[in-house]
Order: sequence, then C-alpha cells, then structure tokens
Amino acid sequence: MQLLITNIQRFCFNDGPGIRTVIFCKGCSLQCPWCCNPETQKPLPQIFYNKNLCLRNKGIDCKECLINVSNPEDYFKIALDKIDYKFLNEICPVGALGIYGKNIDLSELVAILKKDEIYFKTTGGGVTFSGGEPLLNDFYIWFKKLKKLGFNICVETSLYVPLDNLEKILDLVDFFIIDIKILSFVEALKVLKADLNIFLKNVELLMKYPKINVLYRFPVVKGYTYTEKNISLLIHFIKNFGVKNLEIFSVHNLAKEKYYSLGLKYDSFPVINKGQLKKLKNFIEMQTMCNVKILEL
Amino acid sequence: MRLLKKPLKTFLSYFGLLEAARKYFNLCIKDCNFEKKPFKLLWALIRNIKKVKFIAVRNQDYNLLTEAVLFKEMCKKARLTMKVEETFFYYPDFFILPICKIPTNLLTIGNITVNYAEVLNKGIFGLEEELKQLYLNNELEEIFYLALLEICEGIKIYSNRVKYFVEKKFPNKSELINCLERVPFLPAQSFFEALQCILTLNSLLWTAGYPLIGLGRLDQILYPFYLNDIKKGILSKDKAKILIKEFLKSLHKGFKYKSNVLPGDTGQVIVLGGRDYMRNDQSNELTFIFMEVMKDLKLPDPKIVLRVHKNTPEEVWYTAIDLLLEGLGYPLFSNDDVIIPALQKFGYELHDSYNYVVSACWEPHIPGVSFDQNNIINLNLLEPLVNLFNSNLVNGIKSFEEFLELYKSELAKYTTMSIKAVEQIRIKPAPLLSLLTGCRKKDISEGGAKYNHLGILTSGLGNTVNSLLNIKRWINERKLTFSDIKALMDSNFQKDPILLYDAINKGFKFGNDNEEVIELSNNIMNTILSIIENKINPLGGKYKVGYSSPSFIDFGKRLPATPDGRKDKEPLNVHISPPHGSITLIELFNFSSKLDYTKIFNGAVTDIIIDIVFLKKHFDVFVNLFKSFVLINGAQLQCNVFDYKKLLDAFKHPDKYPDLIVRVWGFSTYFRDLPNQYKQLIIQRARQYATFNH
Repeated sequence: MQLLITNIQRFCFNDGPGIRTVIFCKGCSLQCPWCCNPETQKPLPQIFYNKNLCLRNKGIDCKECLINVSNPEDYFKIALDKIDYKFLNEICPVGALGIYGKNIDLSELVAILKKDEIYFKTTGGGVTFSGGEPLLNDFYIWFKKLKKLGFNICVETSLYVPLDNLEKILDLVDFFIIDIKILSFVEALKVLKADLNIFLKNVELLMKYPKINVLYRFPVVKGYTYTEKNISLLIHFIKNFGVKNLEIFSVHNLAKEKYYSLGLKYDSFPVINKGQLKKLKNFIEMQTMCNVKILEL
Repeated sequence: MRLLKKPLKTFLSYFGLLEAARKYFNLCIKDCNFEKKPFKLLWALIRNIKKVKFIAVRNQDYNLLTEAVLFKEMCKKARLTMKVEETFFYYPDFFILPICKIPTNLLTIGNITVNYAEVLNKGIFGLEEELKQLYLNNELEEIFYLALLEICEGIKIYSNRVKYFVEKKFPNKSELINCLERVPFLPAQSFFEALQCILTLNSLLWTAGYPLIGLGRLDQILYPFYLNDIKKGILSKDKAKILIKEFLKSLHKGFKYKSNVLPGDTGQVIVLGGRDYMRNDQSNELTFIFMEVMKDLKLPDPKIVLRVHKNTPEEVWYTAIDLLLEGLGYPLFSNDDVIIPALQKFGYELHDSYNYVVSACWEPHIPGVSFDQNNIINLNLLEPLVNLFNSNLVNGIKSFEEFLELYKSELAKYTTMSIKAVEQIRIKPAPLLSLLTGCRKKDISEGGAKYNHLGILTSGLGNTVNSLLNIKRWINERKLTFSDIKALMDSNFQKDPILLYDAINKGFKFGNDNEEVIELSNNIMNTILSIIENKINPLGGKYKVGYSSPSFIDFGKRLPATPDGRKDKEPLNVHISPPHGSITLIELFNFSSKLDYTKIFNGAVTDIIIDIVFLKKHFDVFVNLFKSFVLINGAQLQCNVFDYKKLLDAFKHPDKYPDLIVRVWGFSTYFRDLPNQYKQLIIQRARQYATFNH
C-alpha cells in the first residue's frame, strides 16, 4: 500500500504518550469549519503557495519558480498530472511554493521511525497516525508489521470511518485519541456533513474492548461545539459510554495562512480563553465522573 | 597610544613593574565589567590604586625560586578579611602585585584542577616530610626542592596568619579556630576541616594569580569525611547541607575578579557523580546535597558538571534536571561511557581515566596529576576555506571532490602552522601548582607533571560542513563556478540574494542525522587529527583536539561571508549545534552521537537551548530524553534553559532582570553583564531552537 500523507513530524509531545513521530494522512471524512490542518482534507495532492513567505512579495526579484509561468500563482491553473512534484517541492528557496501530498510506502516509514527508536523506548513513545482521517486507509498490514517491529502505535481519529477498517486494527493499536465533535444528528449533518450514526457505532465497537487505551478529546469552538445543547449532549455521551479521560482544548487561528496558501477562504473563530475552559472543565467534572484535562497546544 | 606603548613598557620593565602593571590593568578591566570604555577604565585605574599592595623580590635573575619567593612574600602580605556571618575563612587577595623582573610573554598556567585530596590526607607537614625524604634519596633537584619548601613555608605562614586573625577578631568562632589550628598543616579530620582546607588552598591559588582554577570531584573527595562524621554522630545531613551552602557562598566570592575573559568565566567547576573502574556508579549523598544546595542558592558560580553513564540512578537524573529547570545553565552532562574509553585510548592510565574532571569548560582533565593545557590554541575551520577562495588554487578546479581534497590539504597546512606557533610558547614557572599536582622531579612548567598534553580547540565545523555541502550542490546542480561563489562571498550575498536563502534553507545541514553530513564532519575532524596525532609537544606530551572553542564570535568578526549562508562578520556556530536550520533536539542528538569521539574528545559538547515552560510541562519525558542521549553515546550536553520572552524583555530592560542567568561557553553568568554580541547570539539561537522544539 502507498499512503498519501502531507507530512511526517518527529519529536512530537501532544499526540500520545512519550516522544512521537506523527504521520499526517491526507484525506478526511469530515469538513470541520475549525479545521487547523486544511491541507489534509482532500485525498489528492494539492499545490500551495504562501504569498506572505514568497520573496517576490518582500521586494526581492526571485525568479526561481518562474520557469514556464510568469507568476507563482499560475501553478494553481496547471493540471496536477502535468506537474513534476519533485521539481515543485524543491524549487522555492523559502518553501513558499510546493505540493501537499506525497506517497510513502511502509519501508520508508520504518526507516524514519527507526532513527528515533531509542527515544520511543525510553519515553514510552512511538508512532502516531493522524491527519486528516487516518482510518480511511486499511492499515491492517502496516500495523501488523509495525507491531512486529515493536513500535507503539497511536491513532488520532474522529471515528467517522468504515467499521471494517477499525475492527481489523483494534488488537494492534496501543492508544486511540478520539475527537468528539458535534453530538446532534442534525447539526453533525449540517456542519460536518457526516452521519453521526457512524461515529456512535464505532464508539460502541470500541467499548466492547475495555482493554484498549482510549483518550477522548473535545475541541471547544464557540457556536459549533461550545453550545448549551452540545455540552449537554457531551455530558450525556460521557455518562452513557463511561468516558474516564477527556481533554478539552480551544481552537486557534494559526492555520489562517495555510487556508490562504491553498486558495481557500478562512473565517476566523472567537478563541475560548483559559477561564472559560476552566469553567467548562469544572462543569463536566461536576456532572460526571470523568477526569477533564485542559490541553495547551 | 601605540607610540607610547613601547617606551612605557621599557620603562616599567626596567623597574620590574611591567608584570604588576599588566595585572593591575587586567583587574581594572574586570572592575569595569570587561567594557573597555576609556573613561570608565581610567576611573577604575584611579579608583583601585588604593587597593594595591606590592610585594617585591630583590634583584636576582628570574627563575623558579623567584616565583616561590614571590609566593611566600604574598602569603606574608595578603590581606585577610572576614565577615561575622561567614562560617569559613576565604579571602583571595586579587590586588597583590609583584615587583620583579619577570620576562614578558610567559604563559601563566591555568585551567587546571589541583590535588586537594592529597593535602586533605597528608597535610602540608606530610607533604614537606615527603619532599625531605625525596631530597635525601637524591630524587629531587636542589633548586626545585628549595622552591617547593618555600611554597610549603608560604602556605604555613598564610595559614598561621589566618588562624591568629580569626582568633583575634572572632574569638567566638571556636569551631573555625579549632579547625584552623589543624588544617592545612595536618590531615583533615572532619568534614568541616576538609571544607576549610580546600578553601584555604583555593584562596591561595587565586591570590597567586593562577586563572580558571577547577574544584574537582568534590562529592568523591569529601565523602569519606562526611561518612566518618556521620558515623561519629558529629554531623547530620542537614548540618552538612548548611556547611556546603556556606562553602559554595565562599567560593562565589570574587566572582568579578575571578572571571577571565568575560564576566562569569571563572573556571570554578565542581564535578559530581560518575562511575569507577568496576563500573559502579559513584554518586553519593553529597552528589545530591551539592545539586540541591546550588538549586537553593541560584548562583551562576561555581557551577556543576555531572558525570553520567548508562547506569546513572534515576534519582540522580531527576535531581539534575530539577536543577537544570532552575535556569542556571548547569549541570552540564558528561558521558563517562564515551569520555573514559577515549581518555584510555589517548594514553591516560586506567585509574586516572576514571577520575577525570574538566578544565574550565568541559575538556576532560585528570585532576591533580596533569599540566594539560586544554585550551592552548583555537583553530578556525573556516579560515582555510576562505584562504582557498582568496588564492588562485581554485581556478583550475572542476569538481567538488577536487575542492574537498584541496580544502583538506589547506586545513592540514593551517593545523601544522598553528602547532608551530604553539611550540614557541614559553611557560612561567609555577612551583605552587607543582606542589599541588604531584610534580616531584621538575617544575610543572618544564614537564614535571604526569601528563603534559596540549589541547587544541576548533570553531566553525558546522559552518564549514554547510559551506561544503552548499558548494557541492551549487557546482553540481546550479552549475556555478568557483569564481561565482567567490564573487558571492565578496559581495556578502548582494550579487545574488536568492542564494542566501538557498544556502540557509536547502539541502541537509550540520545537525541533521544524515549519513553524508555525518561523514563529512568526521572527515574534516580526522584531517586535523592526522596532523597532530603523532606530534610530541615541547613538554614531551601529545596534542589532542575537540569540537568546541570559545572563539565563535571573535573568529566571525574577522571572516567575510561564507557559502553556508553566514554573512560578513556574523558569528560561527556554537560548539556542536546547527548554524542554521530547523533541527529538532532528537535529530541533533542522533547527529552528535555519531561524531567520532574515539580520538577527538578535547571538548565534545552539544549545546542546546530549551524553553523553560516546555521543559516544565514535559519534565518526565525530558529526563528520559537526556538518558537517551547517554544511551546512544552522545558525549557531552550543555543546555540553556530560559523563557524566551523574558530574555527578549531582558535585552531591552536589563535592570528588570538583574538575576537572569544564561550559559555562555562553559560557564553561567548574569545576562545583563554580557557584551551585546553575546546577548544577541543567545536570543537568535533561542529563536532558532524555539521554531522546531515546542
């Protein structure tokens, strides 16, 4: 299998236990309006051009990428199959222009993971598959091999994924990080463009394996997840499924540039402050037996 | 000024005042915080004159004995001062100046750690007795014998003066008075006596003008005394803690005048922990006490080097990282599993190799038995590269491979020339150091110590490697010629500014765990090694080389822009750390652990910056991260730990953060005291580390 990814990031601390290497898979089943990794949404390679980084906008007459085009933005108009990816990724001296999306195979991934094996061992870390939605891929063969090599595997998923993909890998994953987003059927369909049933069925499946380590995360977004109704649904969900650990975090507006560099629109969000997060934490902890932690990204 | 200099020198040296004048001038510079502003300096020169005390030796030809007599005179006249709240007596008198016709251009030995343990165990009387025996057996030359006796005499005179002084001034300090009756004359019998004995000797070493004096493995040296007192029931752990606190406070005295080139650069290193030749861990209760007390005191000086290894206990790691979190820039970690085998391979005896400490920064040094001047000369690895571009040698070259060979031969020539310069150095006799480093045949300045090696430092390996990698890319991919590159360097990248970004951002860099980068780095260092490996120095020892040097700013000022993306006059990379690029800590660890330390160990420090909030948040992970560094055979590790925002603010408002401490070279110091270039470099590096390590 070839896996389409946007990036491999070593030395990560917030994506599972210990020091981790995070694989950002490309392609997602949801379109959360607050998404901070917009480059991972589409399951296809995408050109990006970050105007703010570009030397041409800093008064330097850089012509590095102007080989068949007269303006860097013209690359958006060229069909993807006519572009030499390697060329485009390496041409810009400041990384303002390039392609999101490259295929890797298992052996390449293993070679990268092996470099940090010692840190995984000493800190209890390993590899984390994130995205996008990693579980849109069938990871059975990959995870089996990685497990055999002794890597600790973590998956960051929204669980809006085919049941089959999840079921196959349940025994192989050491740690799940699951995003709880919108818990009303109507809102989920409207905002996320997804069927909440899929999520709930997958959660039910996970519940059947109490040995699996699961950490739930809840992005706090005003107007979407941080509404009175959604919070009460969240409380209900926690009680219903006996959620023990929940991390809540506020979305940030740091991805603005990324949206623009992909030619997308961006609506910024009101950021929830620490006090509000604390209030929410106390509220959930009062209502349920769940242990809530505020995640600072 | 320059016209005045020569007649002034002749005039001063005629009256034997040149050495005194030079010493006084240096002290006044230190008094101005090393800022050479003429008005400030002049005021310091006037202000301090009342502090000066002269000691004189009658006209005679300068030799070993002169130094010994000068020392004895110094012991007779050194001022004694003590405050009532002090527990120990410690007062180095810096303003005591010699009047004597000392030849100019003699190198003063420094940067070493003496054998405190020997004096603790034998006392000065014991040493004297040994010397007499040796003399009677005809094993000691008369003049050297006399010199050493003068030194012993001096120490005794000084100690007696101290005793009477304390008795008279503080008759209530009975514990100290009883202690001064015995040490350093007789072997120390208690923990208290051991501490006072070390302080007396240390005070004399500073008074005598030897710079950068190390303190050694104090947890090991003091442990028998500690244990004995605990067994006898005359000492408790808490009392020991209080005593060590007072001891360290004493050693902090004279911070300004002890500093060598920059404020804080004192060489006062305490080495803790480590393993013995049976591979047992040697950390003990004192190891913890020292670290805990330093955490309380929050002083930049003295500072700690912690010897670690694969089996260093968990608690030691936790205490050490806890101390690191205090943001004092220490402990520095030195990996026994890498350093000790390298020392043995180089030729240090088994037992000695396990007993290593470090010179002023981190260069391994065998305490109490060596003359080793580990910082004798600095090599600037970019200089041969720049020289090549300035010569016509590059004209005919077509390929990168040819260029690399040419660089290596130029580097070899440069190394050979530097060693020739070292061979010209003449060393000032130092009978006091001879006495305290076991020299019993001839003076330490003549090769009397057990080890007489010289250490070479290097600067700019990172810039050189990145330059070479860029040159390779530009020649092969961009089809640039060497004259294009030369034009680029001469124009400070103005000729093609795009290439500056290209140079900094593209390709693998020094610090990436990439095979080619590692191989090239090792290739360059081994070129130097091949030149020095079989050379014998004038004192009969060998040469050694390492990966660090304090010259990264000074060397940078003299160099034009270089192909790695370093602009005109910018500093070189700091020890083992990436000059450019976003390189994560683990990648840097992987890289630095693959450098060749088997024969290249005279400074092997990876220099990193960690955000204090980040470290606090992931404390446990970091403990294991540091352990991993040891497991993968990283050699030495130094970390600056601070809050980046605070640092930026402190740059603008130095008065708001009088206590902010940072690590420079191998010492910790107050940020506000540093020259601006050093401050800027730290800020710039902190920014670099922050981008990829959060």
